[in-house]
Amino acid sequence: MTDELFLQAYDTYKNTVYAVIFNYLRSAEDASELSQDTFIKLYTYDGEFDSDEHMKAWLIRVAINGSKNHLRSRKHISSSPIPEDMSSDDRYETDEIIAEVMKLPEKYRVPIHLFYYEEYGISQIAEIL
Amino acid sequence: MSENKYRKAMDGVCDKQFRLTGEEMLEKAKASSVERNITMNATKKRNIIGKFIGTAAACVIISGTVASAMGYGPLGDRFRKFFGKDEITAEIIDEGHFCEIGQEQSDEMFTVVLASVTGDLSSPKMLFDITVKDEQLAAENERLQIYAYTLSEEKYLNELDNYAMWDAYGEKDPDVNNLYHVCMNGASSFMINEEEVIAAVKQISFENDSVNNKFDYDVNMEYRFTVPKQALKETVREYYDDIPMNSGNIDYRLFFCEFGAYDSLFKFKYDFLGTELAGGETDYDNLYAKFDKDWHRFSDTFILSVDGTEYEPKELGYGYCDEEGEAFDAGTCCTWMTFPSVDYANAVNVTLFADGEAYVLKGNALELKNEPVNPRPDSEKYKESDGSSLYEYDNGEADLFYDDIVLSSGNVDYRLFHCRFGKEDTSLSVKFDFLGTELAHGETDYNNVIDAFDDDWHAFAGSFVLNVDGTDYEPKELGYSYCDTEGESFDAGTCCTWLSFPGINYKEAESVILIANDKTITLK
Repeated sequence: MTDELFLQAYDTYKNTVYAVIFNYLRSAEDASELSQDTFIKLYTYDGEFDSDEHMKAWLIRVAINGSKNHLRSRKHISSSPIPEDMSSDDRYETDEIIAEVMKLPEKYRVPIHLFYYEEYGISQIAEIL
Repeated sequence: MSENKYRKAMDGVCDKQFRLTGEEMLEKAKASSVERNITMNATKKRNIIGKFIGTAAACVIISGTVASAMGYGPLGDRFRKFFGKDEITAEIIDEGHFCEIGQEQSDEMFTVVLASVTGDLSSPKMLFDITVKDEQLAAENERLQIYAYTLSEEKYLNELDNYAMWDAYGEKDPDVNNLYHVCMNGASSFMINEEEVIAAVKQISFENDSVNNKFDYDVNMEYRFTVPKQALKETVREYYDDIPMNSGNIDYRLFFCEFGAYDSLFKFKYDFLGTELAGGETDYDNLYAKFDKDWHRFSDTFILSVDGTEYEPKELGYGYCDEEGEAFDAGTCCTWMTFPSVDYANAVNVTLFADGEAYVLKGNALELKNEPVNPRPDSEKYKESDGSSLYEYDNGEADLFYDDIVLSSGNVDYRLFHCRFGKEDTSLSVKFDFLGTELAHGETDYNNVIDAFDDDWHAFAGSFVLNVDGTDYEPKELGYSYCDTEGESFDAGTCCTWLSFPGINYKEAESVILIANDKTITLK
């Protein structure tokens, strides 16, 4: 993959990747680390993508697999996944919505994220998961 | 919950917390790529060395006869000392199916030795010895857990993301305080072909870690070896010309059996397109629950008779549908079941019974001695009953499916359709309709009324009690609702939610009763 294509992909999909991992791990620090791993895998990927949608689906798939592998060993779930340095106004609204979603069990939390954030249909979500 | 609000909120989190610029990420990717190349090159070097060791010295087949002659006694005794409950593997070792590897790797925390390989062609086993150098860590833990990939070299280097790790627990050596022994399942597809295998141990985990508070330790220890065919006990594989067995809804076609030391695997194909059960639906993702239910109900009637000894199913699989037609014809699905291990090779007559019908697999037809434990009710009896289907498993867990038992909160009719009795949780799933209810106040967009329905469910289900053999349990966790507005899983406008109680052993319980306000439902 060329540097230019990589930068473009990173700019387009960094939130997509981070958000799906964050939904699994519920830890900002771990999500950040695993997101970087995901993009490193993209950089070293030897295959070709048919389209941007194909790349996006690949990234989400790799992010989910990475999260699941990470979770298999995880003992502690962060109890405060909301960033500390947000303004109080932002924090209130973000806290409430994100916190409510984060309370859901994984089997609902992740599909809901994919439905509302990525606007995938249910069949697509089932394929990804 | 508005989707715009959720997206905005999540974007805010992403932007604040994941701040690596594109240039910074590119730099990291490039640096990692250089490291990976170095690792890969080193790997290739080790590959050659590993191969040499593998064929020359590290994989030594020791037969039981040789071991006895050398004064070792039954070779499986050492295995029994550490893995006393696994008599099957111990006997396989006694028979001489055992391959010594003896590859050692070490880092600052651990020394891990891939000691040997044993098992059979369907369930190979890798035996590891792990020394934990931190004596305090070892003192706090009677066992540890390891995670490893088992793959071919090609898959390991190029397709790692498509595979998950295996894991296994290791028990402490009775005589050495910081030594643990692990018996881990290997991937049979990669270990039976006499081609080189990589076992890559990636993590070692502990339940207690008061000193480092880390619990999970990343390791990177790769072991390359080739398993000679005679090191693994033979299984018997039989292929059939799609023997059809009808459940009343579906023709399940038996096409393959593998009789191993650990169990007997039976694989079936079936078509879903155009069947009445599919009801015109062409996307199997929307049908799998119905077909799994049909398969589990049908396979409960199966009995395997081997020279007159009868066996019930041990484990039931779930259907997998090959929509792209890569393995089978498109629209053809596959499922499976296992029975306990049987000596198929030496058996004279083997018959499989399904719902009372006999299918001869070997020799002459046998007769059924015992009725199946969970006979499939005939259709009339099924309709007259409470409409439930029960699937019990040997480990005490169970699934109970209902044809919608109504539990009314006064505002909403919640319809109980599934109970899952697990070790950790007992979870109950309910459906409900929101369209046209008073609580919805004419609203058709569930996003705008979700809080009202969640509040109703929590107020209602929060008072439920699960009585198990006279002991009352309160709910452990209450779910939030998810509404299938597009009708892809349920009817449009139908929502789903759940609650859980503590886990119970369904098999051992004599009486399980759900008390939902004024309604009492006997679950057992």
